[in-house]
Amino acid sequence: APKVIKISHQFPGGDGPEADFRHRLAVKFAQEVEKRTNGELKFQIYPSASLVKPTGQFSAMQTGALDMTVLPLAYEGGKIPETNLGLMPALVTSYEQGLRWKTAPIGKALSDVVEGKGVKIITWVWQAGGVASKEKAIVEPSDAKGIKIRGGSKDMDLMLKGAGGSITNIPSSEIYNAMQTGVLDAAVTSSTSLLSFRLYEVAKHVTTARKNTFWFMFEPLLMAKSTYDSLTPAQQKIVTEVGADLEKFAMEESKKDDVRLGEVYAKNGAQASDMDDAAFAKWRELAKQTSWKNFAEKVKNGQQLLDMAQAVK
Amino acid sequence: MGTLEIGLLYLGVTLILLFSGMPIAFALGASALGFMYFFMPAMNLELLAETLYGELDNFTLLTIPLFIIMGAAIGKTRAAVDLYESAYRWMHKMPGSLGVANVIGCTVFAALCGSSPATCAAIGGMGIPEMRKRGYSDALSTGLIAAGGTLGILIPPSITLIIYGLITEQSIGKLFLAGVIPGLLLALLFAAYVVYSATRQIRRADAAVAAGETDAVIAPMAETYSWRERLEVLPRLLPFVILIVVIMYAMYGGLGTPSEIAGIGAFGAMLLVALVYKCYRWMDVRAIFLGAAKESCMIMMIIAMAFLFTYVMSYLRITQSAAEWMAALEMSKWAYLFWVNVLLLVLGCFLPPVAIILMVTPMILPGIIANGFDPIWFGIVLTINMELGLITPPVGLNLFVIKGISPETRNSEILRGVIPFILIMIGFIALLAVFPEIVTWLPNKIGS
Amino acid sequence: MNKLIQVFGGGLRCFNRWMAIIAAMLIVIAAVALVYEVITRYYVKIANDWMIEFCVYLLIAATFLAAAYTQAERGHVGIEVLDEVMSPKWNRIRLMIGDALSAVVVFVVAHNAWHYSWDAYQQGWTTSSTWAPPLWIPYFLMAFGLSTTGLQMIVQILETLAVRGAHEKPQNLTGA
Ligand code: NA
Ligand code: NA
Repeated sequence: APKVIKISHQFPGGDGPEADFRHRLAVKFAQEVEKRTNGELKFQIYPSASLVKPTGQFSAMQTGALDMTVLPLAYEGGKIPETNLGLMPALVTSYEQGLRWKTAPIGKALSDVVEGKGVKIITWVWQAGGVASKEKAIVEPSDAKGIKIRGGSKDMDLMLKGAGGSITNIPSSEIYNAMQTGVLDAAVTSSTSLLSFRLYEVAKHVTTARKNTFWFMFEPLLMAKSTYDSLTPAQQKIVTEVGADLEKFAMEESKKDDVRLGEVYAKNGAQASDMDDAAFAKWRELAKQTSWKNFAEKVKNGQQLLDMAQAVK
Repeated sequence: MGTLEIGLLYLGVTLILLFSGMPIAFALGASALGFMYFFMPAMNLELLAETLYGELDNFTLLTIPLFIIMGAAIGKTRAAVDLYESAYRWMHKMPGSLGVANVIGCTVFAALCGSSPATCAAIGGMGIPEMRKRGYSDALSTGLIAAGGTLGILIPPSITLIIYGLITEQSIGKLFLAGVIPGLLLALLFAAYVVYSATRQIRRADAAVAAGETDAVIAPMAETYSWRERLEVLPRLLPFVILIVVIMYAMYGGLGTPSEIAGIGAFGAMLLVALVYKCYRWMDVRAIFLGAAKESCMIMMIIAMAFLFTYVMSYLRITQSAAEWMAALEMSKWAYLFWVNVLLLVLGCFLPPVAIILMVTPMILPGIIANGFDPIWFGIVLTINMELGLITPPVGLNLFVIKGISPETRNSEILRGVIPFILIMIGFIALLAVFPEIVTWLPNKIGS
Repeated sequence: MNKLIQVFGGGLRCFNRWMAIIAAMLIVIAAVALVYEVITRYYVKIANDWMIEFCVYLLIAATFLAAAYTQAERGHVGIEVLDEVMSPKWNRIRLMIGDALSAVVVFVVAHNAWHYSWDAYQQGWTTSSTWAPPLWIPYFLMAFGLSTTGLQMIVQILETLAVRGAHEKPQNLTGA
């Protein structure tokens, strides 16, 4: 009988080129592996968190209750502090640089930490994001002063707090309403989410990742180590290869969303801005003094990890 | 075993446990644990606590205990009596005015409280004896309160809409707005029925009197009130009007998220109750606390255990198969909607709203969306179905409340009383299907 | 033996009642915290990045601390169609089996929660926010609340065994 592998993720399902690329990544992976293993491995995909809640996915893989997931790794930041690198503001400077982590010492270090917790990275996926805002475009740190803003993660919040923003934590499902009613002035998240939340209906401005962004999130396709170890060497090879092959697909689709973000917002009457190098440098300086500093102090080998990440060209 | 067999077995075992009289929360939990043990890899049992924490780690769920404590605080005061007394003084001379005053009381209280049995208990405690004293039949007075109480989950705030919003990822603010007009309209229909029914009762009584049977029939009587008497009750309503206005303003004026609004409501209600109704002695506060703790824990435990239950359904792919099967049925969108409503009605006979929404929505919603229905609109239709469930036998939480308030009324009388209201609500669902704008107009209007 | 159950059961009920009162107080604290949040956000512009998690912890505490009291009051609703149909004796047996099965459920979950609570404490797990409160707290609350609930169920089984003939009618007046 074929071995059944369960993939769970929190993103909307659906097919066609319009569907969320993170779901399509899971589907493509499943189809290709199923084909190359001649059906020895079969897949069941659970989109929209219909099996495990986003924050429970990692431990479900650790115990082996779940085989695979596409997950923002920084969700595990409370248990595995090193994973906060995967959403550290202004640390990654471009998709290409992020992908080069894989073969650099930082990538090895991160993989080792995650593997030590019983989970393997199969596909390296980075995703850029931007800021949707109501009153004015948030391009430089000074733009965030006094703004009610949702950073969406610990380290983003720290940096935005440093910029003088009023951090407002709300669940992602309430972002739309919160912006509409004025609970929020601005929200920072991935380009894909900025699109799927339809914030262009309530936001007047968007800062896209087309040029620069302080927001790069590591969102890999992961497999439970116990599942990986239960595969035959031939199957393991196929899984690894297919996973690596999909990295290009993920990057291209992610970049498409960055571009589409600007287009869709502009079409809906919002102003789309880009972040120039000078503005990015300011964010990076701010991030160094806030979230990077905090990471270096709180995490064992934190400074060393940050140095390794910066060393990637 | 295939998915179908496992699914049927799961359904069967769960039904047996539920009908055994076990608390619904633990029946769902027992069924889930049993199937985890026999049909799923052992590590799932090691994840129980984390699964539960993951589900309860939700800021929006906090609205539930907050709205409950708000309702419990107000329910403890004589606010309900004030509400209904003032409505009555302004309604006089109309046939059935006292009944209409009760409907208005339920409507206003529903705007201050997220649960239906609480609404029912607050207004009915005073309303039922008063109506009976003035010649209303047992059936009409109890049926009216049972049905009027259900408005508690349609008129915002509403625990049912919160849960629906949570699991379908719809905005709770939008759902609340969507409930306003249908809630008021349904209240209007209830009131119209009371006027009709009272008029008929009066006519019969008149005919009986004309025929000389003076002692046989009593008909609803109405008193008259002077303008002075009418005006003097208004100040007592002021605190609640203010609370409702503050909540509405906070919600739609952008002061906060649903949880924050609930916090403001709960805090404001406690304050009002202490200051206006002088309800600050420890015994009073203790009663409010214990009542609220019990009600909110009961609902939260059902939610927690229903999460385990649906996790198993999803893991074993029962949910997905059922949803695919339903979405692939060769039937028109109206036939689909019809059968969904029948299913909800049947489940509503036995289960409380929270359990039904958590268990069933993941299966029926894909088909609802595939058929082109608006999920916000469906949330309201679902809620009216849940209201129906609260007054259908054998298990209807509002019926239990009525029985508690008025133990001497026979069950058959209560049932006779609720039937017209059940029919009105079924008709109302049909009306919403024909004119979905009744639901969608307000949220869309404020949304743009 | 019956005397012992009576004393222990009485003590447990009293304890559970206090836990329920504390649970409700925690909800009131959450309400106050939320009012504070809204005010500070609009008038003082203080960032309250700890608020969501603080309130979620209160919610979890309130839910599990009140569970045993709710059980003692028979406040967890059930479908009681068989109540009218069966004889008092069979109703009593049915009630006891239901309580026993419920106790198994809560103890299994509680056992796992104790485990998690210990792991989270030992390994210093926190949530992933800026505030980063320790994770053992919610697991401990879950474990503690469900354990006392299970204990309450056992007491109720023993009481049903001890007080034969007197049929305890479950209460059923709450819910939405
Ligand atoms: Na309500
Ligand atoms: Na019912």
